[in-house]
Amino acid sequence: MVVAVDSAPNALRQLVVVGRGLIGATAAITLAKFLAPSGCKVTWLIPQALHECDDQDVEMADPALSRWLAMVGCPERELIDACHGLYSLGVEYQSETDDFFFPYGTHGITPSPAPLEHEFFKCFNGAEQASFTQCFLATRAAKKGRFDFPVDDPRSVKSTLRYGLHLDRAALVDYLQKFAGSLAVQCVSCDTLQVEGNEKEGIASLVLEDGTRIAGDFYVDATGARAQLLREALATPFRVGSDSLWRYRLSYREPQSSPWRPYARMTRERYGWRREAGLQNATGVTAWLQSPSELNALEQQLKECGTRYWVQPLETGRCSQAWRSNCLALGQAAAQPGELLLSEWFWASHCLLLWLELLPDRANQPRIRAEYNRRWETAYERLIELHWLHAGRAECDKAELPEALQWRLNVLRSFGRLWRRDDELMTDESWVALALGLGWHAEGYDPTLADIGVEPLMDKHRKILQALDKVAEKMPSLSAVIKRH
Amino acid sequence: MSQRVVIVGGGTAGWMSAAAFARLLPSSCSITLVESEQIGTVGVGEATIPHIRYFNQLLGIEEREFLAATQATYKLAIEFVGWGDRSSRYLHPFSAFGSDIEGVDFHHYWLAAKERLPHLNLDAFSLASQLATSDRFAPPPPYADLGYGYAYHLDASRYALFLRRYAEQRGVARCEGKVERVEQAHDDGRITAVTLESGARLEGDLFIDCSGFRSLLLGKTLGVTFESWRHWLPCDRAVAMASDPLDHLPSYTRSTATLSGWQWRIPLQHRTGNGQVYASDCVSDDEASYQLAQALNSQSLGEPNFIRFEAGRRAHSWEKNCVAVGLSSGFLEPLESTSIYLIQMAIIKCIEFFPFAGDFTMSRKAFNRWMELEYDRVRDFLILHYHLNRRKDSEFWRSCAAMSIPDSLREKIALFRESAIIQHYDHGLFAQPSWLAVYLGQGLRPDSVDSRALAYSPSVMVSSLESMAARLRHLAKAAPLHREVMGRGGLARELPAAMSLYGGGRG
Repeated sequence: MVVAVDSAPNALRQLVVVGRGLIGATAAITLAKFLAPSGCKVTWLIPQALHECDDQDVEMADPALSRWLAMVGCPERELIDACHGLYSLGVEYQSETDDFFFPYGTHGITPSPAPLEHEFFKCFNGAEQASFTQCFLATRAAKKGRFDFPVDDPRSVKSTLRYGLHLDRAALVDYLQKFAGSLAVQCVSCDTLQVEGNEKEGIASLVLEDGTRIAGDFYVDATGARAQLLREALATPFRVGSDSLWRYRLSYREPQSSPWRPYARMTRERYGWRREAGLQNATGVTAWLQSPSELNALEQQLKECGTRYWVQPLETGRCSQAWRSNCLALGQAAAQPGELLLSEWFWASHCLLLWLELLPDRANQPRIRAEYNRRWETAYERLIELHWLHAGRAECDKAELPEALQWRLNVLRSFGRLWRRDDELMTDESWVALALGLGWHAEGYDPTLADIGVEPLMDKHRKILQALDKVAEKMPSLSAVIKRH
Repeated sequence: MSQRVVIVGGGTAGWMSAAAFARLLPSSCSITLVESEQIGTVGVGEATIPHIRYFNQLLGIEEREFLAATQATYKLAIEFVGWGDRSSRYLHPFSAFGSDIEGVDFHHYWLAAKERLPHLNLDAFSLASQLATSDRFAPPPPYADLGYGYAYHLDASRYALFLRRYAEQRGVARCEGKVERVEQAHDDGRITAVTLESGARLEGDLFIDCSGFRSLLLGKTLGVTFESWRHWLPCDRAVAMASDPLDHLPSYTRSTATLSGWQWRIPLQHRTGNGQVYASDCVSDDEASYQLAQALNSQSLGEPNFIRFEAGRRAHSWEKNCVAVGLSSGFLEPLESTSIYLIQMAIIKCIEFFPFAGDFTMSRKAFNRWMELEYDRVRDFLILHYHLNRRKDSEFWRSCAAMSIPDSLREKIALFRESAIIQHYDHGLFAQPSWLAVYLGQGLRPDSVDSRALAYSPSVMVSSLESMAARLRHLAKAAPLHREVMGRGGLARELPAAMSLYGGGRG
């Protein structure tokens, strides 16, 4: 067998990232970190006129952010200081009827003989099944205000921990901009920007207000919902979703609660969802609302208190393709799935890593592009599903849920099992924990549990909780961890 | 949770089902298997893939006991001879090739350095391949980057007998006799009972059709149609012939392309399984039998056994209260040893979606959806072997190369041809390493590779790849001969199995 490659690859040499905010910073840093060693230069254009986000916003990042920081070599503890950040072990959900904790990480308990959640399906009906998440160390520790970092030793229960971060988004962008500079990203600020190009030939160049022309082999559009490259210059159609679950996103800040909590909180309100994510010096509050009248009422309330707030109208949907010609759009520039549980950063960085996995060369191979767009579309659907999961018992009727989600929930209800699919964004454990907590319960369970009584199982769970509590008690408080570092 | 389960048909599928149900279903379920000694079994799947180890471990079967009972040997790979052009030869091991380098798949580096490394083919970067080519066997070492899976060559009839003993010891009732009549409910057509020639009547809530190609319950009784894939998989006959065991006892299956099909060679402890799969419109039964006899590596034992088949599957495998497992639900030729795997998946999914509450609708839908995906993904992978051939020496191979193929497969091939990227999916049997083995093994030349693979100086990369290959050669040389391991009755201690072709890792 003799196989030889026909021609040497024509590697990308000059990448241009456009965008003022967190997504642009993330793209510039990631591309520089991974492509600079092969001789690729990254220019980051920062158009100041581009409205990106509210400076009041708090980035509530799941564990993907700390993984990314490690990957690009960004010092996390310094970042925490600069962004008044806090560590988080998960999200506490509160509603009128049910409360539950959505933990990051895993429970780490080996099936014996059935997966752990099935034991809860056997022992309980309905909402009590969500007590499954009590078997995560993250849940036990968070409720006690404790925090610790995961360890590598798989024998330690602390190896099951993962943590997210709450960060001041404006400070985060500033910090990452400086960090990008240290990676030899060429940062170029400008007031306005003109894009030269068309849908047939792609982006040709970018012209700054002083006439400077910047050209690259490939362009990353991180210009937010405006999508200055993908939608405006390349005329890529945007498909509005069949129904926007929440039409407004309103954010503001409140004084920080004391002591610091190692978790975020999601509260089911009459108008939709309210999320609190604490920083060291304040709490970021974000509300997702459905109706204009509810929005007016909340605005009125905030005005009366003299609270500054910011409202963003939401239009769920996506472009027909996120990668077109020589332009890749990230985050809201490509699609707006919303960001109730997983932020725009999560979505954008997930897609960027996918693009890096496939990595075209200057020939800009069409099959790679098609493969990216196929998987990007799947990721979008998966993310949208999470929002439907949150809305399914209030904002919409169950019958309105997307077919794929209905199917997954039906399988969960009937057999207590997750329908496995390609390209999931969350682990099976996390998805089950979330679904149970949000009120989707199982009626069936693994048949190997049929001959085992409920009492021995509950006894086992009591022992697990005792063991976890013992470990959690010895963990430091979040305040102690932050002060120590 | 009480159910009466009736399994129609013994053989591999029947007894695997009975054994798994006896082990995994609640004690309140009764399990009856009806089979007739007058009806022969096809004895599918003498060569298996690593998932069978997971199945055995789920049942609590000790490996050494299993090896002795089924005269099994270990298997690390399949060797494909003559599938690219007539002289081509490659292995599809149960492992990846090399390890990723800084997030980029290994094969991009290998392709980029290939011209400087004409002496190192892809198999040089798989420990499983290295062991197989030197007729050695050892369990995977405890380094993640070197992991691999392993499976068995086994005597399927003995495996069925072994599982029969297992199942009967756990309460499965066996009824001897031929099914004469199948009774259906007047209201919804579900199967209510089967009556044997002896007059015995077996009532059930759930019927498992393991009647083989006859598809007695699913096809004949419930009328579920058969979807033929013959236009993609043109072979429709096989002739099997046993021969003496091989002295050197290979730890791999061999598949050799012929002018109008292919031949298998499966080394067992007590004999060698041989066979030829062929297209009946290209070669007669007598010719095929003659060709096979000529190709044997050892003295033949007994007469040839002819099997007729058609590639394809039933429109669905679960209809009303009947689940088809094995040949009664579909047939894919044993080119990649998938027969027992498909049986195993059907059993596991049947248990996962078992209709304890008496509502069969969700169980049926979930099972059918899953099995369709399994069949279709295996089918595409098998078609790949035929379509990607470069042989010009027979009309059979020329037409396979020119045939139209499923869109899903065409897209995968086009992507690899363009960029050496393998389309990703998480579920389905064959993942990236398998596609890579066949693409490159059969000579598909990608137009480009990942540009990061060229970031290193050629001399550094060549030296790094050479040392990787040398390390694997060294480890392989230190492993015992497969024959010696079997002489000791197998491994002293079996490692935990995973539901993965690559032993739970890609390394």
